[in-house]
Amino acid sequence: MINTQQLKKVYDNGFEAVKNLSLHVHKGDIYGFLGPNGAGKTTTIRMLIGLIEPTSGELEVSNLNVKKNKEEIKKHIGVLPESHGYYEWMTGEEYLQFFSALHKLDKKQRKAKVAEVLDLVSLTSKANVKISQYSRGMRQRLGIARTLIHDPEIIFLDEPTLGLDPQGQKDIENILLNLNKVNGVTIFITSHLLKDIEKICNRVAIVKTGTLMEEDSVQSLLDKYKKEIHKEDLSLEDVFFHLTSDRKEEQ
Amino acid sequence: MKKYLTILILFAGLLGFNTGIAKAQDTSNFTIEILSPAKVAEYPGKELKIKVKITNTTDQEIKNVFTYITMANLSKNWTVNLEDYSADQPVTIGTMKPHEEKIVNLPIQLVYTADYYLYTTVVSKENPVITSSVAIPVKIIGNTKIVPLQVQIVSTVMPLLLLVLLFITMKIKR
Amino acid sequence: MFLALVKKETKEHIFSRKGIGFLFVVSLLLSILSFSFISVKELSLLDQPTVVMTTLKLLLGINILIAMVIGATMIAGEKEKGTLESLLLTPLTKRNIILAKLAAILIFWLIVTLVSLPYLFVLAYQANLFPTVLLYLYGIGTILIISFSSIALIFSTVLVSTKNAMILAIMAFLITAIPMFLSTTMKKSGLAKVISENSPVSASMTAMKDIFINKMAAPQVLIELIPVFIFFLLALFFALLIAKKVDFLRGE
Repeated sequence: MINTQQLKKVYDNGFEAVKNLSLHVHKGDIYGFLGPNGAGKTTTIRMLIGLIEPTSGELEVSNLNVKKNKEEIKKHIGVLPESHGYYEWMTGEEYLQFFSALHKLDKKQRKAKVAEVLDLVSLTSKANVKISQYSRGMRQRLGIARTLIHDPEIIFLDEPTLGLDPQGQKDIENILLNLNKVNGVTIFITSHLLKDIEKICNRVAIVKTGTLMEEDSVQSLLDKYKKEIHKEDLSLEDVFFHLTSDRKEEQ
Repeated sequence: MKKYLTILILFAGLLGFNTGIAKAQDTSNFTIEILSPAKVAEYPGKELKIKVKITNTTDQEIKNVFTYITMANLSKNWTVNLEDYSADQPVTIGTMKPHEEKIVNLPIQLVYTADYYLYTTVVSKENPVITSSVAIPVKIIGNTKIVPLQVQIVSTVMPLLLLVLLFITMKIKR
Repeated sequence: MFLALVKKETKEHIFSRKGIGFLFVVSLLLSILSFSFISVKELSLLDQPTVVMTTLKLLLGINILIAMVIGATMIAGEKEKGTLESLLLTPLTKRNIILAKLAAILIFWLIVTLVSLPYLFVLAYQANLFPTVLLYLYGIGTILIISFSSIALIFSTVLVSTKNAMILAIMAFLITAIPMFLSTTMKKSGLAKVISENSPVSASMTAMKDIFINKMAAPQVLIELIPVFIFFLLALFFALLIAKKVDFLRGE
């Protein structure tokens, strides 16, 4: 579903955000993309969704070359960026109606689809409330609903649980698990909450300063580093800190 | 006797000198007269030609002569910006021979409604004495058909309607 | 898709407190001016062509300013609020985004003209001027609004802050409107002369006088309006060209 080959991004100021990244996401994966701050996660997502040009390398999403099919890609993906705003003056329903119209759904389809995604994210009762009155958790759920409005095959979520309380985080996780199991949506997710990633993701990639450190299923990673890390009840968090700990020493 | 004669000669000399100064101050080298029209009463937009006769009243040739229109707005007690009336360009006459007469047409277009005096002026760079003609009355007639009541109704109703709409919008937003 | 964005922009900027507030201000100014024409002694002496011209000048001046203020906030505002990225992730092209926002400003202008029509009708009453007023308003007026709005959208695209975009937009308008404030002598030479001869605002005011007072023929007036047409084409061209730069605020 997602393949990158030697993906590289160097910004105008010379900063190399992503270095020779090769990722492989299979259909139906819930794929965790992990790394400390400044590891290149957001840059990678923006390249994958065609918002910024890579300096070099190949990238394919939904069997389409991203560089050559920037507009076509948008039909196959849904994206919830890390920091994003809403039209506060709209209600939840108006907001989804607007984006469904932008994705060229006809009027009949729109009404049904909006009702469906609102139900998926448990916002049906708040559909006619202005977004300005939504809590942070409700806004995140609305954002997820927006990513699903046009039935994408893949959704990219950049830190979807950032700033949410435990209940909010759990709600998001349940929605994502449900989406993946029932609707078969492939999910590409970045997060700092490693315990939650471990719960919901079947495969992960760990990056550090733009370089891929590991990519494998969660279980395989845990098995691989059992001997090296010498800890009972080894967790993904332990593996993550083991792989990214050099950065702490440098700091 | 000699004493009285000397004083008389001195007085005569002073008189002559003063007369000379007075002559220098009063004497213009030109006469200028508006031949037509004698008066104007027209609507805005009308184009006219002011026919002017300029005469060199001296025995000498005068160079660098030009003439132009000036207007005074009597309704507002203001000067007039002649560019608005397309009358800001002087007409160059050039050199006038002794006692020569020249007839010149100065164009003007009537613009803003008011009462004016229009006069013409002739100037030569060689002499600081400026000569103007007698003014003609110019009346640019207003032909407004505005009905004050209509204006009052529209000026009151429109903002009120929009204010009501604004309050409704504010109430809906709440 | 395009219409959905136009509808959203219209709802956000026109059928909102801000938009109706602007309409109210325009209406109030027109009311004050119209009332002056019948109550102030000197103004009541003015002939109808001059009255209509003065009203049109006020209408155009205020609305160009409002259109530029709205235009300046449109892209920069979305960047600041963080909503631009979501828009860029839809099938909308960047050019479509610019055109939709321009269309919304045009709709605002059309609504303003509707509000102004009763005023212009009563002021041009029985003077056989109303058809000419409509032609000028919807012809030259619309061209000027699109031109200046395009300039404002360019600033809004290039700059991150709505405040800076608004300041630049207002400055751009004032520079083109400078000839209106200069004396005749100043306009005859130097930079003032260059601006006066090439300014679209200056050209449209001259054309207005020639249409209403001098009753000049159409071909001659069209020649005078050449700076306006050139300005319109250039502004629109650069606005569409700069659409490539429509981009969200970056940062990880």
